[in-house]
Amino acid sequence: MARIKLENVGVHYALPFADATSLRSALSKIALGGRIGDGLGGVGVTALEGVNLELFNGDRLGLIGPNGAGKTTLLQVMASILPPTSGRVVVEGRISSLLSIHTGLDQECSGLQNIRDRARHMGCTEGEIRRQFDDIAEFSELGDYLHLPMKTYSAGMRLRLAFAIATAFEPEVLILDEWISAGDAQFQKKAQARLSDLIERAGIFAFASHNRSLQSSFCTKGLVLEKGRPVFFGPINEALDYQNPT
Amino acid sequence: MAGRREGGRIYTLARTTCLPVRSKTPIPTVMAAVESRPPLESAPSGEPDRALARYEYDAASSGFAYAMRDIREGLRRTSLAATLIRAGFIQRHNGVVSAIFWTLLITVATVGGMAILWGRIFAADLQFFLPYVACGIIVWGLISSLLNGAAGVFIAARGTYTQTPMAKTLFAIRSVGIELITFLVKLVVLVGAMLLVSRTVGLLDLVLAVAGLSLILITGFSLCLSLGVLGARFRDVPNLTSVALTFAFFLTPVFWTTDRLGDWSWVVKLNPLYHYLNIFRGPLMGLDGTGLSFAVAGGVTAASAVIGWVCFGLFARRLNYWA
Repeated sequence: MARIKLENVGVHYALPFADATSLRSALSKIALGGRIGDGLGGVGVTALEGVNLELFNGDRLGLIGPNGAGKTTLLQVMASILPPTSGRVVVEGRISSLLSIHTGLDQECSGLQNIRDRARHMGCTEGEIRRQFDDIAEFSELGDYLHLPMKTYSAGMRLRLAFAIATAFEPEVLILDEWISAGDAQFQKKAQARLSDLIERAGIFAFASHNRSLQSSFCTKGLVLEKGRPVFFGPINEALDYQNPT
Repeated sequence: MAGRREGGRIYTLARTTCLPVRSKTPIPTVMAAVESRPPLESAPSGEPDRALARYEYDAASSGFAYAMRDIREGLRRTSLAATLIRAGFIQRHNGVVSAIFWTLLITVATVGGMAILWGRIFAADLQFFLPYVACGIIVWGLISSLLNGAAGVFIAARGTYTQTPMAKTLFAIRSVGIELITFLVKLVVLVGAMLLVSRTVGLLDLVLAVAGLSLILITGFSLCLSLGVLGARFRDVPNLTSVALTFAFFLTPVFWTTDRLGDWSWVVKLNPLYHYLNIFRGPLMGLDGTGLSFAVAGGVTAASAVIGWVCFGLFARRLNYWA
């Protein structure tokens, strides 16, 4: 059973002056009687503040807000990528992050090798990879290209392979930042169907997007963020109306 | 072919209406793939390689729980670790497999050149001196590249751990693994040198050398955790270690024997790197002071493990913010 609980989560990026990243400048501050922390505490960016949220199995959350509102940061916190600077996070269930579907792909390796390697990055077992292997190869429609190094692929082919791998494994907590689409018109249809299917099977789905129609069709709940603060949480249509009344 | 072109539509149909296939007619390939898609059952979460099924983090806690979870997750993802090591090793050689041959050739040239030149200068017996120098250069290569790599390990990997949920420990394992493989490749030269002077090694000495190698690797891992996080925060730590290593090279008897220092030979014993060298070379070459070296290296290994744990525990959770 999937569950996500965020308690008073905040993310604050300290922005030290470039100089403060040098060991010498830190040491010279000590020598002058200062504290290492001096240069660090002042300037900073608060990406998230006071986020309280609890999601259960079956919840589909849409994150709504303008650029810089903290949507991606919140997804990174849920995906266990970014430990917040304040508050508490609990995520139960294996996390499938579609935040970066290219991480772990190696241009020098063949497509077949990349299927295995990328799936390992996603935290899949060897058994799961064996079971899904043919499905991924088939879905990508790359055929004999799968035997060639990935550097010989066009950008569209790379994306098709990355997409096929990313959507092949059972998600418990599925995290998506903007809709992914891949390939030409006919492949896009197929990809759309596969992604929708994946979302349906996910225990919890969290989705940041600027596309209102996608959010209203795939999400049930909406969280509106403004400058890192949650300003509205409720049914998706009310949340969309809150952010941008029609 | 028509079935392929219309793949998108057939896929949708297959999922909604055609699922129980009754007809005996062959199914188009795309559709077959959909039909045969196995049920995606979840593997039991205790299985190795599987990402941990629970993530809990409290910013008010000390950070050691976060570090502990990271190390646990890193250690259970064995095939990912193997993948990272393999990819890293190939990447280092720019994807050229024959680069292994060049690594060997450089080692042969260095060992051969050093042994002959310094053998003449010291008027040493090549029977002893050739494997001694081979051992010294190969082990020093391992120690120095472990130390050099440690401070930069989390700087190099920042593009990965800021994008995807992945245990940071894996990058330390990757770094040590790549150096181990490089070392094992170079070891061929040592075996060659041993054969050339027909020198044999007893089983016990071999076991001791492997134990020594393990201590070197554990220290390398611990330093990745300590120097690694410090290097990510203070970007000039990698420069510091590389300068320190250049200096340490002259204080370490890589291609000279300690007795050449005469009355000053005790100075060498103050250098921990000498002891790390000696726990591998000592047993193989039957050198003095191996027991002392094991004691010192064991102590330093334990200390570095503690320091590594403390640094990683305090700062691992900050790495994303320093990236």
